[in-house]
Amino acid sequence: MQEIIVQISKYVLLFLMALYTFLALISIGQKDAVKRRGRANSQLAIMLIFDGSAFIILFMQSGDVKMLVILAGLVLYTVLIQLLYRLIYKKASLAVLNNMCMLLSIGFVIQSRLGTSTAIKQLIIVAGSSALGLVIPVIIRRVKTMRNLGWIYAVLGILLLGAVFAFGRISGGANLSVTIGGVSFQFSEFVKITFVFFIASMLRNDVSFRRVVVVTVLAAMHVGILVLSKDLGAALIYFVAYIVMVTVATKKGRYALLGVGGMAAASVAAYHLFSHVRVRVKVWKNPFADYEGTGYQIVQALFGVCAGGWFGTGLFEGNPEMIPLAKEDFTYAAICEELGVLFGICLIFLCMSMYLQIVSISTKLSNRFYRLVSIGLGTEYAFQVFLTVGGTTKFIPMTGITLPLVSYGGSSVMCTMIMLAIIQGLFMIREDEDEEHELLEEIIRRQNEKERQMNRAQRDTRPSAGMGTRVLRGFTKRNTTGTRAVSNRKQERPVDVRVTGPAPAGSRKVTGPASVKPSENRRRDTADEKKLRKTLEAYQDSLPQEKQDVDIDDLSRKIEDETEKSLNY
Amino acid sequence: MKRKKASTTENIARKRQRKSVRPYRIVSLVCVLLFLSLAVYMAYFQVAERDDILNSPYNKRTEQLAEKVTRGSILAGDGTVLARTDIDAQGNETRVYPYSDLFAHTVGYLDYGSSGLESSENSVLLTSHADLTDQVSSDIKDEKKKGDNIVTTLNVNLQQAASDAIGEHKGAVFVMDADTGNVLADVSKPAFNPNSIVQDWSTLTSEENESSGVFVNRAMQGLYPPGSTFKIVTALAYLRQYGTFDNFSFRCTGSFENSGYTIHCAGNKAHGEETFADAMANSCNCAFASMAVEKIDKKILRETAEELGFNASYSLDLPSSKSKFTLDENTPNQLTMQTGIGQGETLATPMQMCMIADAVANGGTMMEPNFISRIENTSGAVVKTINSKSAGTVMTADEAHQLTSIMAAVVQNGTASTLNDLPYHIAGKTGTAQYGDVSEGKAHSWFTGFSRTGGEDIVVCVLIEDGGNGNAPAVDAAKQIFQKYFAG
Repeated sequence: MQEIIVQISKYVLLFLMALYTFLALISIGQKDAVKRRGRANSQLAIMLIFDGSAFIILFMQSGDVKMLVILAGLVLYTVLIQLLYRLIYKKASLAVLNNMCMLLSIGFVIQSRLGTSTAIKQLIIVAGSSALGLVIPVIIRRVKTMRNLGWIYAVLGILLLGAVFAFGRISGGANLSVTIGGVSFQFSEFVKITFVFFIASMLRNDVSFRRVVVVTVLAAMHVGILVLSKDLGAALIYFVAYIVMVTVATKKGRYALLGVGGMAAASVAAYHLFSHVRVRVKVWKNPFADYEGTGYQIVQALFGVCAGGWFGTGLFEGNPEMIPLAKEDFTYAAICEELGVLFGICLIFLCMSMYLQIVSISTKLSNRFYRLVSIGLGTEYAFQVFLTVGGTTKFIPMTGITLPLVSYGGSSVMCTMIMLAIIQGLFMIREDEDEEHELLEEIIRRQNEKERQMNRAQRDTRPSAGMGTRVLRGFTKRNTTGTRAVSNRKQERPVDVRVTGPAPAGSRKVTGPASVKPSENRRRDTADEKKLRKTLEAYQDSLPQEKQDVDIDDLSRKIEDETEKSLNY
Repeated sequence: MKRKKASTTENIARKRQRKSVRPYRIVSLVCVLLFLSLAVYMAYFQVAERDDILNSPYNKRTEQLAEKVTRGSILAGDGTVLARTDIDAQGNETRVYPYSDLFAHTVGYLDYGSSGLESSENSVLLTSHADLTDQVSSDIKDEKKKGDNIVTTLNVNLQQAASDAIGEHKGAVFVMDADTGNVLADVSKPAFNPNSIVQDWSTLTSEENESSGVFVNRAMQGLYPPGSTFKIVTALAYLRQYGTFDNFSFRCTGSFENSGYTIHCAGNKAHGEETFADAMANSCNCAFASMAVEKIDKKILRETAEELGFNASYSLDLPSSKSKFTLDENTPNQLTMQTGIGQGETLATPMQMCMIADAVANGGTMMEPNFISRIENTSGAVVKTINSKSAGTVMTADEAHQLTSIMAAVVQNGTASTLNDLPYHIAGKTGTAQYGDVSEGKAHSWFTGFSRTGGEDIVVCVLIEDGGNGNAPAVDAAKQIFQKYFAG
């Protein structure tokens, strides 16, 4: 009887997974907030049913009460994180949050199947990372200097990777991690984040050839150390993130071609230089050639993937424990064995929708730094999924990395969650920007209103040009000193023009006849001014580099026209 | 978002943004393609490579599967059980082979490792596609599920006849359905009894038995000099170079000399003036040796041999050896002459010579030997039907027709004339292949040929080790097989 329930359950789990993935896919680019929220709620419900049914089967099959403990922990965690995000971070993306929870759920199911103790450990790590992750969106949102620390990120990354490499050398063997207080940290995971920040920061307002060369040299140092540490998977991920970010920042396809060409050349060189690279390629070509040795892991993974067929064997009905590193690098094979290849394909699509959610934010943000960060982190995520799933199934040579959020591994889970928290921060910035847009509109509208009133009041007096210029100067000064973006620019002149638009309007407001309560007016207006300036800065960052000045001119002229029109009224 | 009508400022920003968004779109598209390629690959892998991986001898998962599933049976084409699992009252399982040693090499054995179909179809036999009701009932009764059965293409009567035909000799018989390549008989002698493999293990693996190769399926894995049966290949090469057999003539004096090396016809017999059909019927060594060394381009001969399956490996239901052929511009004349008559360095499996005859019988299309016709669940419902595969069109229909006529001459008035009194036409080629030290005069007896009834024809290849000179025991064996088959 139990057998039948297990057999039915695997179809139920597949159905829930397919339904969830479908909702995740159609939620991409969904603009309607009500629909978005409705889908997010359905996804949450599906997820909880999925967790419940999977863990009840796990409990039935193993008779281990710990399964129920993990289920309770998982449900509690899911509910809590959802509540916290929905209450505190109302502007965060529920789609990203849901996908994260779903991927974690799948991970917990397969890890509990393979051993409850590591699953419980993972649960603790996840809870801890989430607590840490809750602060990150605030930091991202508030700490603006973050975008100016390019060199610091680069040096930090190289030092950390170098230290691990040196440490590994001293202790012998390929040490990829450093153990601090019983918890082992894999620094290549953390540095993945600083690496993206470093490139984004360096390329956010200077994409000259010289700057690209500097970035390339620093990036090459990262990748070089990783190759020497035999961490090929990470090296590839860094390399691809670098290519994508440089191409996107410069908008020059030739950098992509150069990058891909360089990658091919580097791969060939690595193949000839390092024996461990040759071994990987040999195993990929024919894992059965050295079955007992180097090919053992991948062959066992392939047996696992094939044993389950389309629908899998059902939980506890297969032998995923025969796959080496089933909880870590080969989780995908274990999932395919017991939950089926179709489930595995759904998982690929789920990861894809996660990636698309991450990069969708990059096309909406107006700040170049944040855009580059999101595309960089997204690329790292996507490529990591590609490497691990492709490697496990012999599509590409195995590089030995984890499936983010699904595999067991403290540093991996923690870093992915930090990465997603950063993305959530970016989503909130995006929503802030929307509000600023509205504010800008509101200011202009209000000012126009005032101009009209003023015009009516001073029908005989001609508006003084001097007043406008005076305040305009003040604006210009603050602008040029306030942001490096402006002072770095070769053409200084348009800066003045840029603020001529809104400035006279503002000036008149301040210096205008004291119709009603001037002191109160002044206070509110300076606050508005600040916001207005901030908004303009954001625009300026968002605009394409080479056209930025012109755009600002354009923009200012339009606003000026609008103002004039209303003046002539 | 309660955004009102988009203002001008915003419109400009939007427009600008759309432009700068393009590289992001392209990058995401590339990543999406990566994900899609993964998904497609997963599906492809499942369809194309799953069976091979599951049946890998390294796969230990099937052993675990055996704890949940009772191994299915292996059946002959008519449903006769060739291997089954009996369960006693205590639930102990025994694998039973009702025909003991008759199908030893084809069906295989299971203890001390495994061989034959028992090995190659292991995962199929341990997979259950039982009806849902059966599964439910075995679940409730806490019984093991019943694995699927394999219905082979084998014909028990023909296998028995083939086995009887070689008797106590060492040797092999391979019989295929001409159209489909379905294997009807696959006999290898000496054989062993798979029922008592555990008891007999020490004897079977003794030095004496080891050297006699009792576990080798001689029909598919045994490599023998093909001798005169290779003249089919030489004839095809000649035909390809000259377009016709008509202008050929040779005067046989019983021996042929070139570069100081002499080739003799069997018994030094002088065949006199011969047409091509005569040379084939007489199996005239002198004619074919002279052809190989003086008339046929070496490259054409090599290409023809390779097209007919020499130096090629096949992925079949059972393991097979690669037949070997070497010849190039630097080959000395002495060796070229030997190569033309199937001696020298040339080696072939009986299966390969059977496939060559099959290509001739089949109008040029060579079929791959196929052992399994379908897979059924325990109640007999078909799970999967297996269709035979072609190994390619290896000669034109005209070439096949011309080869058939000279192979028919072999039966009508040549070395296989004992087959001439059968009530249907046979075309074939005999062979007496010398091996070992020439002075000892040891030779294998070969026959490969096919029936030409126009109905369901068969291709038969017989090899009898040390079958001797003079009389041709392989032809007699083939005759018994044809008789058995057409007697019904």
